[in-house]
This record gives sequence, structure tokens and C-alpha cells, in this order.
Amino acid sequence: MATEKGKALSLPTDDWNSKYYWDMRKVAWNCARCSTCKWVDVWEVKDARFAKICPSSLYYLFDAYSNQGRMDLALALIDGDLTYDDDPELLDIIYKCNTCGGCDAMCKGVQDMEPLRVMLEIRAKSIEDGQLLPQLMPIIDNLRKEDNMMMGKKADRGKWAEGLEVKDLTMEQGEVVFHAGCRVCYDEELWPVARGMVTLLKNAGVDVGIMGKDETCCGGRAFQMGYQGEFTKYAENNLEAWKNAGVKTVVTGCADGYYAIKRLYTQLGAEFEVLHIVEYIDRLMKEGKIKFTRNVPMRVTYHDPCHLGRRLAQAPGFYVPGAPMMGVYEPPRDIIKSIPGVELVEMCRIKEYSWCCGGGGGVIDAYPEFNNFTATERIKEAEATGAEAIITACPWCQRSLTDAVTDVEGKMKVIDIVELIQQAM
Amino acid sequence: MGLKQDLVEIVGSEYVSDDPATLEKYSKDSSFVQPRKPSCVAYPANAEEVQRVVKYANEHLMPVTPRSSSVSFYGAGIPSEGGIIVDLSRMNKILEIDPRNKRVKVEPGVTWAQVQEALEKEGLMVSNPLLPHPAKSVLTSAMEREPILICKTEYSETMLTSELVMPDGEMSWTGTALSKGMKVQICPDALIPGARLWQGAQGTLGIMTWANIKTEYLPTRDKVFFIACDRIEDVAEPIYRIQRRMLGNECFVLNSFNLAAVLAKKWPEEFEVLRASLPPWTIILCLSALHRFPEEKIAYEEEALMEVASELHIEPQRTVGGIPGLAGTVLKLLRKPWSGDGYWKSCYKGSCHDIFFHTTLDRVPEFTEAMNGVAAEYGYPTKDIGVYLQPLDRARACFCQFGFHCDPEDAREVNLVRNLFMEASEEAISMGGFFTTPYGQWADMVYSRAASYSRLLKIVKNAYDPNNVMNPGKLGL
Amino acid sequence: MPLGDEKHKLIYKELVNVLGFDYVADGAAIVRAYSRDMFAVSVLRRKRGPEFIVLPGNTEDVQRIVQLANRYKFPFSVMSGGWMLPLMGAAKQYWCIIDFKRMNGLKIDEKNMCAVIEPSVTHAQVQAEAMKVGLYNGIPLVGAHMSALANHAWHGWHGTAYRSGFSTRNILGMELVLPDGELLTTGSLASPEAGSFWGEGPGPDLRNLRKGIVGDDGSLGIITRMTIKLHPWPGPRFLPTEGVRPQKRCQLPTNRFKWYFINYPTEKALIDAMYEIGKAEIGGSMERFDPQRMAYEYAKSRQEYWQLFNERYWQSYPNTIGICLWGFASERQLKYEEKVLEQIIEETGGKLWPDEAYQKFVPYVANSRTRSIWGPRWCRIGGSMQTGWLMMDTLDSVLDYFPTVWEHMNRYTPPYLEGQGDSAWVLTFDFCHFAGADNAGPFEKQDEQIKGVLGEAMEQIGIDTKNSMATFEVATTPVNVTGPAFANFHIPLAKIKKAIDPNNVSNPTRFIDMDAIARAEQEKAKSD
Repeated sequence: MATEKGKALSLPTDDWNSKYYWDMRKVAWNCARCSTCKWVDVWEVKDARFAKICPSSLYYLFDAYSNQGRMDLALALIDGDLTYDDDPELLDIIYKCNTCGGCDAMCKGVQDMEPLRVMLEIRAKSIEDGQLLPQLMPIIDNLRKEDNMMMGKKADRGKWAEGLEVKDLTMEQGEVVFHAGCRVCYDEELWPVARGMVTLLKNAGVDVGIMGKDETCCGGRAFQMGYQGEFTKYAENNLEAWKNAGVKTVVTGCADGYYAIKRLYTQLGAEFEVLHIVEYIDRLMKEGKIKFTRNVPMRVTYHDPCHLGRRLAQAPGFYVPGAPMMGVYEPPRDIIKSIPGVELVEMCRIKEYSWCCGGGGGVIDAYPEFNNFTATERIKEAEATGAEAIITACPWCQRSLTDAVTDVEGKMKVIDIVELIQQAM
Repeated sequence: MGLKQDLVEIVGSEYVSDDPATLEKYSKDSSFVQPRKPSCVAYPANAEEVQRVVKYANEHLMPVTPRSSSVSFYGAGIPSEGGIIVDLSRMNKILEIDPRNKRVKVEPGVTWAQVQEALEKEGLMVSNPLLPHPAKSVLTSAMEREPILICKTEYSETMLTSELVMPDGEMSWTGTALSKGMKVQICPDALIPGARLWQGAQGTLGIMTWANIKTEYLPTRDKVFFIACDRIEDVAEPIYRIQRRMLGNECFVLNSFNLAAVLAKKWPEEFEVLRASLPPWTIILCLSALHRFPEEKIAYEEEALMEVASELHIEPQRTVGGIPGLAGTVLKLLRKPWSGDGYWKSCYKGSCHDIFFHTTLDRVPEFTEAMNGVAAEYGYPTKDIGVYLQPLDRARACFCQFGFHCDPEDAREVNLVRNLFMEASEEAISMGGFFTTPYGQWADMVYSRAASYSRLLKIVKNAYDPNNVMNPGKLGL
Repeated sequence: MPLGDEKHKLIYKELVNVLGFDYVADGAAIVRAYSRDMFAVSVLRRKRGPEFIVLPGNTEDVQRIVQLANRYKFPFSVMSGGWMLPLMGAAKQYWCIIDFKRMNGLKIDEKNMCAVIEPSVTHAQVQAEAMKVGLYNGIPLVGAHMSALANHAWHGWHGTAYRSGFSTRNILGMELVLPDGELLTTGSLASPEAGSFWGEGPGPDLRNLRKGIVGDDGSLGIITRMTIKLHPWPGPRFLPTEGVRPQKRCQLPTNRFKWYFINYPTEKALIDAMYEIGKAEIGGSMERFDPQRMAYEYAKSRQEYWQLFNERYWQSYPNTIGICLWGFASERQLKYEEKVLEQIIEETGGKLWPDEAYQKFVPYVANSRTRSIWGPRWCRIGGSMQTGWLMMDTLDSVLDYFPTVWEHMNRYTPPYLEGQGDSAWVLTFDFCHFAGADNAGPFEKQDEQIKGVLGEAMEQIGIDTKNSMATFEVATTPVNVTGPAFANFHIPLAKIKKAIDPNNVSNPTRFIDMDAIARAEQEKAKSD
């Protein structure tokens, strides 16, 4: 249509520019290299030291290690301008990423794009093309054999719950299943956290059960690594097992697992209510079924696990352009603020612009020094608040952050939120 | 034909001179720069004549030194290698006054007296330095980056666009004056290089034939305050806080010597009385308001000023030294050139030699101490140093000027002050005083410490002036 | 590109000698990530890009890289954020991109209101540290996540420049590595012990040798450290925000800040009002908000953009001044300025936006003028945008500028996406002493469009600028093309370039095309 300025204006010729839909090549092509994916939401930058959002970009520096760079690589791979043989570093570039979604969350503030999804699809594609990252192969092999991501034996999966009086959903029916998750099952230092969660639920009158040694991996981390086939297998298996047990609600204390079950399983037709333990406790607290009676004089800060936060808005099929990157941000904060004596101080990077613990995307297995770097950055950020403890709500975060504190011989306590709650009851 | 005759062909016989008295006059100024006579002085009427003179100079490899007015203080107009002086004082038209865009277009010969009088009728002013000499060129002040009394960021960098005769005799322009498509042509930045390359150049890169300079609206209300300080250390903090709150227009500091020199009408008696009664240091701050609700503007600024004063336990007053009507007296001086008998700087002994440089306000005490120290070594009374401090750009920097006085007829005194001047300058530079416009002997001192800058300047000079005709020898070029 | 030939290997080896393996890359995957930038011309060249990426850690590293470039005759260019321009010129053999990610030093001098920054420090980082001590720096629309140094060196327009001055006016002392590897310091940095607090001189001001309205892209020197002005900030330590991205809101404390959005019946009336506001010397930030920018900055999604556009929602306010009053001195100052502004609005026939539009826009967008956040939304609806033709002169000249530039665009470019006629950004500087205008347009990032908008169009416009107001298009036109229309300013520049870059290694395809000048000289010598 012409305007008074005399020239015909144009509407987009490509309908993708009128209304977004998922198209991997269009997303990769459309990246404008604005670098928003590397930095925290600028309105939230409070300190120059804590202004970056992308651990990979901060650690590896070259732009190929940022989402923007990976969009260039994705485009090149799709168009055949680049092959795996062209650069031995290519696979590392693809995998040196926590898949924390920080890039994606920031990008979506200014574009209608799903750049994280492109990165995950490229991983899946590289596996399809037979390009397997050597460091992850033992993990996946073990998964296939032993149904866990921790190089453990299947037979040992239920040890964390030994002596715990809780319903065995392989033998009985139950409405609520507590899915412990691989990390907790095989990380003995974290057993008290899982046991504490179950005990809390039970004491609040929840009819909760576990799958014990028959619990299997949720498949979420395999999905992040690109092994979508493995994910589907485990998802279908879990859905079947829970259905057989009469489960209506799935509760977990693992953010990775929560994300996988809440978001990815729905693609396979799951219809359970899925709650993270913090959501459940927040609900119980507000119903008066959990009360905090003891004073806990402590200055703490809270670390938002990526998969309990922004990743929920980034799941394939869940992206709504323009919608806020909602996550489970307030329930854990409400809980912490309700505990007498606790002072909550926030870090610079929180909620949808939170800094990752470094544990996701296969990094903790394939690139431990990168994982450690990312976690150490977070600890430094926590220390800058003056807090004595960093509270989290995911065992992978807890492990990454704890190891980082140990490595630097720091004093920061790393506490799961349930451990904090237990101190108050 | 000889030089004079060739110049007569260009500017006319009335406007060329090579008589000894004239050449003597142009061979020196009130600085310590070594005198050197030109061969001839030409007084062009317009840019075309300037062009022709410069082209002639290129053909004959003859130095050309531009002079915009009859006063010269720092040696920039002394022809280091002889040659032709191009005196631009005939080019003294105010070409345009544009209140809407707050600018005035002037030729180089337009003086402070001329421009402020003309602008006042339109309710405008050019932001001026402290009491400029009435015969000084406004354009030259802007080109030399003379600090102005109003330290608001928005008023700073008064030069907009200009027209130049380049060293090769071709015409060029700065800023958007380069674009004939623009109607008004006043943006100082356009293509590279921008107007600033020619500022501080002392005529070595071309001759400016007109310039657009910023004007500001004259306030309709003013209220002058004085803050007396016993020690130089007490001066910085009030100014920092006042400027952080963006208060006031004119804001500057004079020591008792300089303030007395500005105020005295009778010399030496009144001067001595004033000097004795004034505080060692006085901060002068003028709160001003423009056209809309001026009383309310003054009121909120005054309230904020008093908050600052309360924080620092100081008392802004409407006078110092018990001088009645001082605020009104000073106000009359703020936006006009000097109008008294004899220039205020020369009244004490006949000549004044200023050392001036930039630093930060918090370092002023150490520089003051250093200047006093050098003066004491030479037996020069520190009470006879006139000090002027000008906060710049909301006090992010400070222009410091230390004036040393002597009787120009007393050779011994002149020699003493010359030696003192050189040593004090070296001391200031070595301490980190930044000489933004290195006149005369300062050029060696500055550029020997800034070798890479000097090298690039020479490259630039060579690019624009391959025959090295424009004011050669200045700036080490 | 002949990756792996002997010269390439030699250069690689020497770069590693200087920087170490960790900071030099020539792998196909790494360099691929440096193959395109927002000015999508580089997308057309994506089959050829740089061959080396290096990450210097300090100025000495940069000097050594440049010295190597001169010794082994390889071209280089620099980048910080890398969004606009640095990559599109990387089209010659052995091209080396100097990526400044490791050079991220920042130091604030609170007392003397300045910050010393290295190239990869972002505006947001500077502002975050500055606000802690009651200071701020103005940020261009590109976004606060971009390099503060690069924006000062290149362009840098923003609404707060109404008070704090255009970017060129905010540069103090600098340190540069010249194309021959020599270190240059300017301003007070040139004077040992002085510090970097002042920008002019000594003597002629060489800052303007490399920056006018826009900079030289590093052709005449690489800035490794810059001191920039900071200005008083009467606001809180942190920006107050609410909500979750992309629905984030920011509202400044109402006792010290107030936004006004005033629409005018005509562009002329808007300009007249801006003059009056400048004359009254009120406000901390002022600009004309044009419908297109309002549309793309406000919309949280493409769908919302097109929906509002088709409703002509923001087009209801075609001549809008957005001004934020800042109470620098006190709350009472804010009250005073509100009174003044309201008087001006009445006198000039302005109409305040209805509350519905105000509440829609201000919390989500207005303070993108305090800390720019939504600039990249430019690229949402087509993938790329053209920043148009920049004009700087008087406010009145804006009235002639826009029709002129639209005429140029009509002549040379394919149609932009909806809103071409509504792109009409106007800023003023130093209380309306002069002004700038810019019309930018989004377009679809497809080969034909890119060629049309950014390829041939630029060359034509560069030539056809003699009498144009829209004279300073900067994307691709080297100055040797535009120079003859502007008093041959390029001739001495070429001499300077030749003297300091004898091997023509510093960003040789941008700013000034020395090869083209050499060819022209040869032709002239032949014909003479």
C-alpha cells in the first residue's frame, strides 16, 4: 500500500516474519548477532563483575562458544557449508554448553526465536550423524545398562531410602510418587536431602510413595545431551510405571527431573500433576500443614536452578512469543522468607536471568573444569552478598556448588532448601 | 615584483605594510616568546584575499602567520620564521545572529566587545572567559579553547562550524558546513576530521575565515553568592557538591590578589586595601534563571545550595571582605569583556605572565604549593601571584592559572620572572599539569614528553601543509 | 579461503608465539562464528570471512599483533560486541579479527566524574558501577549490552545527550595503537602523571582525526583504552524493575523523575516545541519518539507488533516528544520543571498522551532511554535493519531531511517493511544547539533485499550526496567515494593513512579504500 511518502510499503513475504513458528533454519538464519544472548538483562545489571549470563561465552571467550556463534554453526551445518570433518573442535563447541537457557531467555526478550532449541536439535542431529562426544559415551552406555546417569549400578538405586518407612509403589498403589532422581540416588552425601523430602511430605499427611530400586532415570539429561531416543524410552517407561501405580501427582526435588517430567513428558501425552518439592511445600505451608517453629538466624541467598526457572518457558512446544519467562521463582523465596530468623539477600543474577551452577547439558561429565569454573563464579557471586549460605533446590546444583566451595576452600555453606526447612521445624 | 608589491596586488596598497614600526609591533607580544619580525603585514578583507595570500605563500615558500586581533598574549602570533603576517582584523563582521539555533556567525576580527554588545540586544551572549580583553577575537578564544566561566556541560565546546583557508590555499569547512545541502550548517561533527583538529593549532593548519559559535540566552534573574575559604584545601569540596547538583551558571575561584585586581579602580591604593580585606580564596557562584518562572528557579537552586552549605558547614554570602554591593558589581562583570582603563591583568606592574594548565580540582592544592615553592626560590612574593581556578564541565576538571607580574621596563625583574616562569612551568608539567594549548616554550616541554602525539601531529601537518608555510615553528611543527 | 597455506601457517605460528594457543584460533568452526553481523551485507560474504581470531589481553598484545600484521602483511580489524560493521569488511585473504573480550578493565573516578574503560566493557557495566556512586553514562539505542568504548568511538546517540552531549563530546583521554604498531596517547594521557581526565590536545585535537559523527572503524588506530565522561545521576543505585522478561518494567522514583509524552498536530509544531524546551533548559532526556521505534520497542512479539501496527496504534501519536524531567538538585527542581514544561505544552499546542497509552508505554519502554534494553528488537520483524542516513544540523533542518531521505530511499532501495514513513527519530544535543535525525527501517534478511538495501544503494547514495542533506551514511561508503563532494577531505586523510599505515593493514576495506586511491593516482599519472 502506498503512503503519503510515496513508496509502497511492504509486508513480510515470509509468513515467519508475521507470526513465529518453529523452523530451525529460519531461527539460525535470523540471528542478528546482537549479543543479547551473552549478557544479563541490562536493566538487572547491578555490578560489572556479574553482568554476563552465558558461562560458555565467559569461559571460552571465542564467539563460537556463545549462542550467537552456535547459530552461525548451526546454519553452516544445515546448509552444508560446514562439516564435522572441517574442524575437530566442532563437537566440543556444540557440547561445551550447560544448556542453562540463559541465552535463550535473554534472546526472547528481543526476538521471537528458540535458539536453545536449535542447539539441542543440533546435538540430536550430530548423534544421528554418528558424531558422538567420547566423554559422554560411557555415561550413555551405563544409562542403557543400569538405567541411571551416574555410572552406578541399578541394584544400588534404592539404597538412599533404606530404613525409610515409605510406600513402595512397585507393590502398592499411591497417588503421589516421589521421584528421587539419579543424582540423589547415587550421591551418598545428598541422601539426607531426599530422605528429608520424603519425611516432610509424610509428616504433612501426604500419601507419598517411591519406586525405590526400580526407579529409573527420567531421561531429561540424556535429552539435553542429544540422546532423544533414550529420553523417549525412559519417559515411556516411567509413564507406564506411574500409571500402573495409580499415580496422579509426581513430586521431585531435582530440577532437571522436574523439567523433564513437567515439560517433556507432556509431549508424550502425560497427564499427571507435576510438582517440585518447593511447590509442594509452599502449598502445604500456605495451607498451614507445615509450620516453622524454630528460629534460624542465618543470612542466606537463593540460587534459582535453571530447570526450575526459565527452562520451563523454553521447552519445545511451550514457547509463547511475548509471554514472560515464568518459572518457579516465588515459592522457594516465600518459604525462605517465612522461616523465622532467616534474612534473604539476593544475588545480582536471579530468576529468569540467573547464573547457572554449571552442572547441566552434560558438562559436569564431559568438561569438569568448565563446570567448576561456572560453579565457582556463582559462589563468588553469593559471597558478594555477604550471605553465609547459598540455598538451592536441585541436587545437581548442590553438587556443583559444593564442589566449587571445596575447591576454593571457601566457607560458604551450600544447603538444599529442605535442609533449611528442617532446621526450622 | 617584490613581496610588498605582490601583496598589494592582492589586498590593495592601503592594506599592506612593511614599515619598521609596524613590523616591530608584530614581532612581539606580552609573552616571553622570542621576538621575530615579519617581512610584511597584509590586511585582507575577505576569504578570497586570504586564499590568494596563502597560495602566494605556497608558490614562494614563504611563512604565513595569521593574527586575528591587535592583542596577543601567548606568542602564537609571533612569526617564528618571519614571512607574512595576515592580520584579519578587517574581517570583523558579525555575519548572522540566530537566536533560534543559539548561534552567532562571526569573522575572525570580531571582538568580545563587539559581539557581546550586539548579542545583548537579542537577549543572547557568548559564554565568555573571565574578563576577556575587549579587543580579543571571539573566534580566537573559541579556537584556543579558552575556558569559560559557566561550567555547564551543555554550554561547553563553543565552536560549531567554520570555514577555513587551508594551508594549500584551498577552501574547506568543518562540521556540516562541508555539506552544501544543509541550510544552516552548524553541527561541529560531520566527516573526519572534525572541527576540533583545528582548535589549539595556533594557525598551523589553516586560517579560519568565519565560525559559527554557540550563544546562550542571557538570564533574566541572577543571584551571586560568595564562599570565602581560608585555605586552598577548602575550595574543592563545595564546588564538587555544587556541580554534582548541577547548580548555577558561572562558578569560579579567585584568590585575593586576582579578585582585588578585578575590583580595583584606583591603583595601587584601592587594590592594596581590597587585597588585605578579601579572604585568601573566594568561590564565586552565580545562580541564574532564564525566562520561565525565574524566581522559582533561583529559589530551588538557592535551597539546594544551602543544603550543600549545611553539609559542609560553610556560609555562602552575598559579599566578602565587607564590600557593599559586591554581588551587583561582580554580576556586571560576568558577561562582558573588560572595560576599565588598562587591562586588569596588567595594572599591578604592567605585565603579567600566566602559567595555565588543566588538572583535577582535588589536585589544585598540590599545584598551588608547587607554584608557591618555585616563586619562593626566586624571591617572588607568593602574595603577588594572581590565581584563577576555573572548574570545567561540572568540575570534572579544573583550569588553573597562576599569574606572575613584573615591570616590563625593568630588565632584572623581567629576567627573574622569565626564569621563574620556565621553572614553574617545568615543575607543573612534571607533576602532571596538563598544558592543553602549549604556547611558546611549552611546546618543547609538552611534546618532548608526548613523542607519539608529536609524531602524529607532524604527519598531520605534513598532510595538510606540505610546504610548511602556515605559522611554521609553532608547536614544534 | 586458502586456509592452511604456508603464509597462513606462518602467521598462525607467530600469533601463537605472541598470545599463546588459547587465544589464537583459525579453525573453521571458530571463524564461522565471526562471519556475519547485523549489517547483513556480510551475510552475502559468508562464504568468505576472517582466517584468524585473536584475543589480546592488553595493549602490548595488541601492539605485537599489529607489528606482526605489518611484518607479514596481513589485514586486521577489531571488534568488541561485534553487532554492527566489524565483520562485514573481513573480505581479504589472511584477515585477522582482533576480538577484545579479554580487555574488560573498568575503573570509575567518582570525584572527577569519569570512567576508564577497555574495549569490551559494556554500557550496562559502566552504568551499574557509576550509579552506585551517583553517576551515569548515556547509552545509545543499540543496547546497554554493547561496548561503551565502541559506541563512543563509532557513533553513540541517545536521549540523555540532550544534556550530556553527543558521544564525541564525552571522550576524554585515550590510548591507541596506531596501524604501524606505535602507541599513541591523547588528551591528558599524553602528559605523563596527568591522568586521563581531559580530552583535548595537547595542541590540535587528534580525537577528531578519527571521529566525526561516526568513527573510522579502527582504520587510523585501535583504541585500547578510553576515558569517558560520567554525569550526575539523581536516581537510585539500581534500576527499579518489576516483572519477568520480556514483560519487564522499569519506573524511576517519581520524586526525582517524570516522563512526559506529548503529541503535536504537525512535525513543525513538534520542532517548535523542542526548541522551546531547549530554551528553557529543562529535562534530563529528550527526543522525538517516532511511531516505528515505539512500535518495535514496545511489542513483545511479532504478532503483537503487526497487530498494533495494523491498528495504527502508535501511529496515533506521529509527532511525539518524549521528555524525562530529572530533579538533579532536588525534588523541588522537578516540581519547577514540571511547571515550566506544562506551560510550554500549553503554549505550543501539545497534547499529553492519554493515560492508557502512557501506562502502556512508559513502564515497558521509556526507561530504555535511561539504560537501553530493547534496541535489538529492531531486528525482530525481518531479521535485519538499516540504520538509515544520519543527519546532524539544526532542529529545523529535520523538516527538510526526512522528505529528502525518503526520496533517496525511494530511488535506491526496495521497500522496507511496514513503517518506513514512520521512522523519524530526532535527537538534540547541548540543549538544542544542534540536532540529529535518523530514519531506520527493518527489512527482510533475504539476499535480494540485502543487496538492494545495503549493496548498490550505498554506493549510489555515497556518490549522490553533493547537495544532499542526508549526507553521512556510514555503512559501507568509503570516504574516497564521498570525498570529492566535500572539499576533497579524503586527500589529506589518505596521506595520513599512508604515513601511519604504510602496509595498509588496518581495516583496509573500510573507511578509506587506499587501493582505489592508488589506482586513481596511477590513472592520473598515466593521463598526465
